Amino acid sequence: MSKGFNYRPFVVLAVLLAGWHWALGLHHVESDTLAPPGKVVAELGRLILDGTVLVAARQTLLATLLGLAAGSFLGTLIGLISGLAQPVALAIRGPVEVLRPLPAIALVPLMTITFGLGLAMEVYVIIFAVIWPCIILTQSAVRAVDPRLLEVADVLELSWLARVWKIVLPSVRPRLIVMLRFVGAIALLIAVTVELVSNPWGLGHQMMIAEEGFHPDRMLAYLVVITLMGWCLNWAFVALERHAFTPRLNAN
Amino acid sequence: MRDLIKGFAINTLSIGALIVIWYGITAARLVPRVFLPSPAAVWHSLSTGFVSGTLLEQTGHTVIAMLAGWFLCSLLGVVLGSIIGVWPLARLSLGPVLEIFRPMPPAAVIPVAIAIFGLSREMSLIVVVFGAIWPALLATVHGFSAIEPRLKEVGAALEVSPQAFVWKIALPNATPDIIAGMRLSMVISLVLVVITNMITGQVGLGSLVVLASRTFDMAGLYAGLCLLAVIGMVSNSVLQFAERWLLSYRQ
Repeated sequence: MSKGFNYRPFVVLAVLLAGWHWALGLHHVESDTLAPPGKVVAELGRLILDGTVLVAARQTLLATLLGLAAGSFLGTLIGLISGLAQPVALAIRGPVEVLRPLPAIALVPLMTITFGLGLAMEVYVIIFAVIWPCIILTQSAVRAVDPRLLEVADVLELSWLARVWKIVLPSVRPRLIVMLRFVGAIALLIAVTVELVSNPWGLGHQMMIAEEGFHPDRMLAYLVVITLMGWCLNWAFVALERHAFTPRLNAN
Repeated sequence: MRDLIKGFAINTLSIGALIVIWYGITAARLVPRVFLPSPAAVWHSLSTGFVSGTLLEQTGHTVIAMLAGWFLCSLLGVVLGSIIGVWPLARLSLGPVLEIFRPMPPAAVIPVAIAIFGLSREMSLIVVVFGAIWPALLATVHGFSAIEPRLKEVGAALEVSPQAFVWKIALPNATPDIIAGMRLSMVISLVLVVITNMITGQVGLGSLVVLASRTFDMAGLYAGLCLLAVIGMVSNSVLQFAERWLLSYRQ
């Protein structure tokens, strides 16, 4: 069964698409809520050709990447410091445990009042969503560093910065990259959700507009684009992981 | 036990310090009141809200919606995951299809769900189930695929039926994965309940936060955020506790 081409998922997909088409397209119903797959593809092509989807996708991607970069940088920094210094870890544990479970999206109204609508507000919400998992994952990655390596750093009398740069960071790098993939998905989710809920910007907003304007084909086309974007982002981080892990495998 | 008490004391102290800093900032008027109300104002808003019962009702709706969604998606996730886990044909045909849907941000389904079901509680439940099922489902599939091969051989040697294999060998073996997945599902359920609640505007903490911000009732907004943080923290610690208790036999 493992040999040969696995055609089964394509059969399942074909059945799903055919069922969707049959349910909507066969009777030539004019629906305000759903559209058959053919129409969605046609609308998607139109949106790509006239460029609206590209503009919206760029806006969403920009917010996602900015928020991801700032949030994961701050989170990793705090995680590194608290992972290496036990008192800091103890001091921040309570606040982290209180703030971490707070759904970032609930901050949208507050951020809107503080920063107004637009890119900045979206980026701040993403930072809030991304920073907590980064702190926790970096902390546990730093704690998993081989104690002997830290002893080496002690023996060499390395400064704190050199210790982090030369010993800790290289040994936590693989786990940080895995972490990046995990929080990357969160960042995109939050970006799209902020746009859906209120921010007039990006793919989520376009999708909501399409739904409210009774353009089911357009709405589903945007859903396809958002899914593709999530898929691409995931794929990019998997590629990064492979790239980061191969030298190690070769060295062994 | 002593470590537990010590940890609790440190956490209380650090959170207390945070509140004191918050109080200091508002008392010194470093930040305009519009952005950051004082802790006392938030406490007042919380207590009046609970005494009059409105806040209790909103919290109740949010918690019930979260638990209902979480329960449904855990159940569906474990059942579907078991089917995919034991039935090779299902794994080969559905596995890759699930991989296509998994990176889809759950909130992106909301407009589609609104178009089909309207701004209703059913819509909210469906969005929660669709979005929060993944951790439970994938954890179950993973737990099933990670069964020790010798256990499978034991099952084959004893000629147990597929149902008995799932019930007696596979599920107990996959429990740690499943519980970890269910914990993640709970987090996502709360997030999605809040989001759908913000959009539909039905009674709940999501709409409370939106309404409070539209009327510039910052104390009310912070009260809503505090309650959401407490709900998230309590549900997470309950599940963490349950995890430790259920898996205590493994240590």
